[in-house]
Amino acid sequence: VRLAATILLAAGLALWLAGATSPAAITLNAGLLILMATPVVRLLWALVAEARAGEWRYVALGVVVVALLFGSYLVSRRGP
Amino acid sequence: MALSTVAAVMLACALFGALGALLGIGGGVFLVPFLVLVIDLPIQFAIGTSLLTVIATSSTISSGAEGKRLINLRLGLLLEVLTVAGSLVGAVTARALSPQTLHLLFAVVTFGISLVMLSRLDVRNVILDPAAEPGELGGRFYEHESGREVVYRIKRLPLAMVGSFVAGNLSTLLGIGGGIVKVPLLNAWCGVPIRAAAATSAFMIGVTATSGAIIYYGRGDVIPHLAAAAVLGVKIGSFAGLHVAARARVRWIKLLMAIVLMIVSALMLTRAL
Repeated sequence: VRLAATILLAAGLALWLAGATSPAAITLNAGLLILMATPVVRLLWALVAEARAGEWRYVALGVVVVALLFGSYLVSRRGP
Repeated sequence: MALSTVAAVMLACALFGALGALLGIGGGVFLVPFLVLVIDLPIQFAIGTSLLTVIATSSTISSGAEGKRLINLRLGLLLEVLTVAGSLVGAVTARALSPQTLHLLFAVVTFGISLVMLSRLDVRNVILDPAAEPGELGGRFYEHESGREVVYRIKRLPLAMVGSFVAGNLSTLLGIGGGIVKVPLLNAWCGVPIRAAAATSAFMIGVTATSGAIIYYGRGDVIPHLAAAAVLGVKIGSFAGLHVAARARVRWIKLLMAIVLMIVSALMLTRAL
């Protein structure tokens, strides 16, 4: 997944430099979105591991973190 | 913005990434002033770009085998709740503050960090007796230097929690990772060995920076091709830096960094006035 972000960003940058502005924009934004998704995926993996171990208090903490991340998405939409 | 700008950003980011990896911090403290002072980008664009590079650095460290072994996930999860909360508050306050105030705040924080670095030039971490119980949030790992398993307990948890909130706040407000606050705090006051502190902080920083990055990206405060150049540059640099890190003489690098940060602080101060 990490590699996918890097490849997309490199390809997008190459396209942008070549002057192909609109395919570049799509590729670059896809790369940035995947980049932003990687820590969230890592966090979800940690949650799965804690759930398997039956450590529900830590699962709850992780859920709060995910909820707060969703909160920052909401702030970016309507933000003050 | 032309090819030369992209090349300059990429090159500078490679340098900041390498320095960051050497010092165990993100490159954000250098990248934000560079984008503001040299590329002449408005500070909120500099912060958005910097947060994206922080995610990249964090991923590089925490996906490595060494990182996975050292991360204290439970401590990370607990502190991350406070950090992301701080980050959200930071995003809201960032909107209310003028660029001048942000420049001033950046100057003050970088000056503070340089002082912390100077005060920690010779700090060596104490390793606990391996027979000890780690407690619920503590941990144990095999340490290559001493060739045995080490155990640590968490001390002063409330302090770690307050520090995490502040770190998250500064992260979104200024575009830095926040590791510069958390690593010394966890190491010096909360009993976490430096390697575990750095790895756990790297894991947390990725999530924190994502919270901030989502907000800046969603508001359109990111220029995609510049961000791509910055992320790629930092990735190349931090990869190179991690390989040199083992052999480097950290004391001199810390001293050099403290001086550079003081200069950065002074430059940002001139922008604020």
